[in-house]
Amino acid sequence: MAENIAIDLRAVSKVFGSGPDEVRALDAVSLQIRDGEFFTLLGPSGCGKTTLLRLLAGFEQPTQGEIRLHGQELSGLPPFRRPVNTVFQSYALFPHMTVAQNVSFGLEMQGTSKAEIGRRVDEMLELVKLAGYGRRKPAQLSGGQQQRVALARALANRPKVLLLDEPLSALDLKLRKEMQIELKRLQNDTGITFVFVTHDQEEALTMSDRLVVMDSGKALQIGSPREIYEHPENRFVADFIGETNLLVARVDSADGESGTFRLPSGARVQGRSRDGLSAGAEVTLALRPERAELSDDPDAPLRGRIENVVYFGTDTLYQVSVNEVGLFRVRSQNVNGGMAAAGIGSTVGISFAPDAIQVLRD
Amino acid sequence: MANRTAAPKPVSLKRFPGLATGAAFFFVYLYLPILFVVFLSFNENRIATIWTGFTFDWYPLVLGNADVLRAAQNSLIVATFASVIATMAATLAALAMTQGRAMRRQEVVNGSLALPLLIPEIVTAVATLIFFVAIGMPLGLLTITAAHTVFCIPFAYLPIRARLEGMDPSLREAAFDLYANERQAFFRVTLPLLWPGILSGLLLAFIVSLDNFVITFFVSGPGSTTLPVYIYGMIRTGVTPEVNAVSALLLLVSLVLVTVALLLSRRET
Amino acid sequence: MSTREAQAERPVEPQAAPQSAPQAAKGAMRGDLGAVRREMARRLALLTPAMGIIILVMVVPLALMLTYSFLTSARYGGVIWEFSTDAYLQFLFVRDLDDSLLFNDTYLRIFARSFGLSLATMGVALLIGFPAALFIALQPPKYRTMLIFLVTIPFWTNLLVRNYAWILLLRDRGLINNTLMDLGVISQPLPLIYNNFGITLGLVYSFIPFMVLPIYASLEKLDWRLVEAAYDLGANRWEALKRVIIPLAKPGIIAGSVLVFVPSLGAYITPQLLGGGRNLMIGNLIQLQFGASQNWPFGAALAFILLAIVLLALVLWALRARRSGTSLKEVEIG
Repeated sequence: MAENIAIDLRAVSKVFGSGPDEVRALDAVSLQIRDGEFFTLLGPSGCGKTTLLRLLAGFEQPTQGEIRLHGQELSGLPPFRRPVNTVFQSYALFPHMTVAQNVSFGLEMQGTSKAEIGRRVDEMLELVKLAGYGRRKPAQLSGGQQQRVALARALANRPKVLLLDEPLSALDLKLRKEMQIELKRLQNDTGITFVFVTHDQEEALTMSDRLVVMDSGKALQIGSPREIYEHPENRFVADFIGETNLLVARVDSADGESGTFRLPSGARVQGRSRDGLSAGAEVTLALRPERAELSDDPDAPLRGRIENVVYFGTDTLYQVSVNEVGLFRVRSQNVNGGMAAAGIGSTVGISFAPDAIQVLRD
Repeated sequence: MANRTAAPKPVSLKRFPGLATGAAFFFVYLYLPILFVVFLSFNENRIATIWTGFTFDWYPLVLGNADVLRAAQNSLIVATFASVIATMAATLAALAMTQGRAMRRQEVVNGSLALPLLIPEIVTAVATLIFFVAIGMPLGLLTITAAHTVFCIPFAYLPIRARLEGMDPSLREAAFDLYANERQAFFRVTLPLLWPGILSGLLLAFIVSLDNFVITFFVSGPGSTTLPVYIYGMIRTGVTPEVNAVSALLLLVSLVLVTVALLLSRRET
Repeated sequence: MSTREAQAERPVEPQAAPQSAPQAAKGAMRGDLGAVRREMARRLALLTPAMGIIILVMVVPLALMLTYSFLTSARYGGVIWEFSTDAYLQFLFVRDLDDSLLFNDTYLRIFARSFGLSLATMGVALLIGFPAALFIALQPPKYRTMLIFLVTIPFWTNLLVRNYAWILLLRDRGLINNTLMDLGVISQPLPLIYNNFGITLGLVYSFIPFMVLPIYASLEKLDWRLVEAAYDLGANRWEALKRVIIPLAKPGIIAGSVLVFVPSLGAYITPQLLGGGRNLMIGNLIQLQFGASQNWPFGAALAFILLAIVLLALVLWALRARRSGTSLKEVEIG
């Protein structure tokens, strides 16, 4: 796999300020981004994802650690000597230049011939479906069109890696959905490695080949959307991506990766963990609401009283108060018109399959 | 710190080679002449620009000179009257221009109020001289004060308008809502908040009046010499330590007043 | 006054009293015309003192000056109330013995010199002022305020004193020549003063804050991400400066140039003190007509020509600024 690594970060830290004002924006982040993949940096604002992107672009230099691009050390190289380009959150289109001048800017800087520039600009505007818009000024375009110009401007240089800093955050929902598909298409067509920053977990899950979840300057978990969603490793990831029920439990017996856990209610459930389990230890279990079911089974591991029912169209959310656990959420699909049987105030059991339980590391 | 890689020289993209040097040159250029005047005002040597020793003698000499004192007194009288009248007029104008809905021809009024800033001083000086002579008004402190009041207005107007524009209009509306009438709203709400802007405008108007030379030179008559006009006369007869001392004093007054004015105008609303 | 009355007296401005109950809104509809009229009356009353002073002591005098330029000169100053275009003819011609007009470029050349010196002043001020403005704009905000304060201070100190200071520096036995001679760099004093060099230096010094402040104002507003985008697309510092920073600072550069050019053209003190009386500019020529020459109509005509040039420059600038969408307010100093 090593030959397919586009970006290799080794224990990269970034500290801003000094003394009491010191802010550790990135804390020993190590990760590898594969050539040609759509990689997403996901996390809440202030988690360090944008700092990481700015380090890759060269606007900031790491305080510690190494950044390699296809094996070449990048530290110390100014942005204008890096074969990467950025699509800025604000687009940063030059307001005093036309669309075509914006798109040709990078090529001119590299000394590309006039004829080649003209050809490439047309090609790029075609690619982002803005052919014929070359002579307009950015201010004459809609937000979505400006977004496309920013993409064309960056892609015109055929960068080894394209960095996208929350590029869709300024667009309204409908346009954002369109652009998500558009971005995926562009990435497929060009085969360029995309590094995409977002705080929108749904966007991250739908678009990425792989993603990293970040918080407080740390890379918490790296993996495919499916791995991250179905096997969150810790409380933050489980909570940040989708809805989760967290249960504190004690390891009853362990056998390699699987084990039996005792819930506060006394019920025992089966679960799996990638780490070794030791009997008696306290662990946190994560359970997605859609993997749990309401049941009439008197032996269901959890029992509670339905406090609230929220109808979502495709599914219905039940908030069930369970003794010693608190509010537990169950989502059930509204097949065949939905299940109207369980109303507020009724007592129900909650059951789930063993593989629905995830054991968290912290 | 073991894994700290040999950090490459950090490249700050906000630095441009030679820029700091250029800026340093600029500030030296800006301040060297002023500081040199002050420096020479302490020079014992009467004739040359050569430093021969420190003395404080020129200051008492200048401050004991009856002509200097009379000129300074004239300057203070003119500056006080001109700046106070201009500030009152400017405050009212600023209130008219910032409160209530946007007005047609607002640009025209704003432009007229800035007119004294846009017209070359020498033109204003000529026009004002002709005006006073034509209406038969003897040149003296009155004509100087009238001429100064005109160019003081925009200097007072700008900080006051800026302050008013930075003020939340709903404060005045809240006063109305709580049964204050126009007068009460002004004296109880607007004026207390506007004070720093008014003071700032007053001080700036005072400084420009105190420092004005060209217009004063044209419309002053015998016996109404102001300090800058007096200094001009001294310079024409030659470079002397007395000129340096008076100049240094004038610089000091401006410096103190402008510092206070700018600090006032920066105060949060 | 009772609260009722106070309430009744409340101005009924539709946008001024949004939270005060339905009767205000109704009043705004019914009495809209009356309210607008009251509002205008209040405005007019407030504007009267300032506008009155400016009209009486500025606009009327300017009109009078224009009138004087078409009158006949009295021998010892003042005018005779007789229409004459002599003042304007004198600008371009002299009367020969046989009363025919001969072209005379003496005054035109003084205007041309003033233009040349003002353009040079503008150029030098831009060359020195732009790097300073850029440097200040790139500093952290807390230093910026202080540096801008330092740029403003000299503007508020006495112009006469500031020009006088240059005499101390530039004259034959001034600081610069003395230092250079002491160091043995030169044996004879350099001619730094009483020539165009001295005047330009003094003019730049007098008006350079007008160049730095508007340029700084545009640079400070500049979105630094645009510069980052230029770097990202392969521009080095010089290219980023040339292609992005300078074009975006253009409104400030133009404003600064106008604000330096205009007062330079009408300068009086600087050419008087640093030009040594032999190097006249328009300002000195005008003053002469009210001093030694005692030709008031000609002085008034010269002042009017200067005013016309300046206003033309300002109008062109305002039109350009309007077209490019920058308002004059943005570059106001204060």
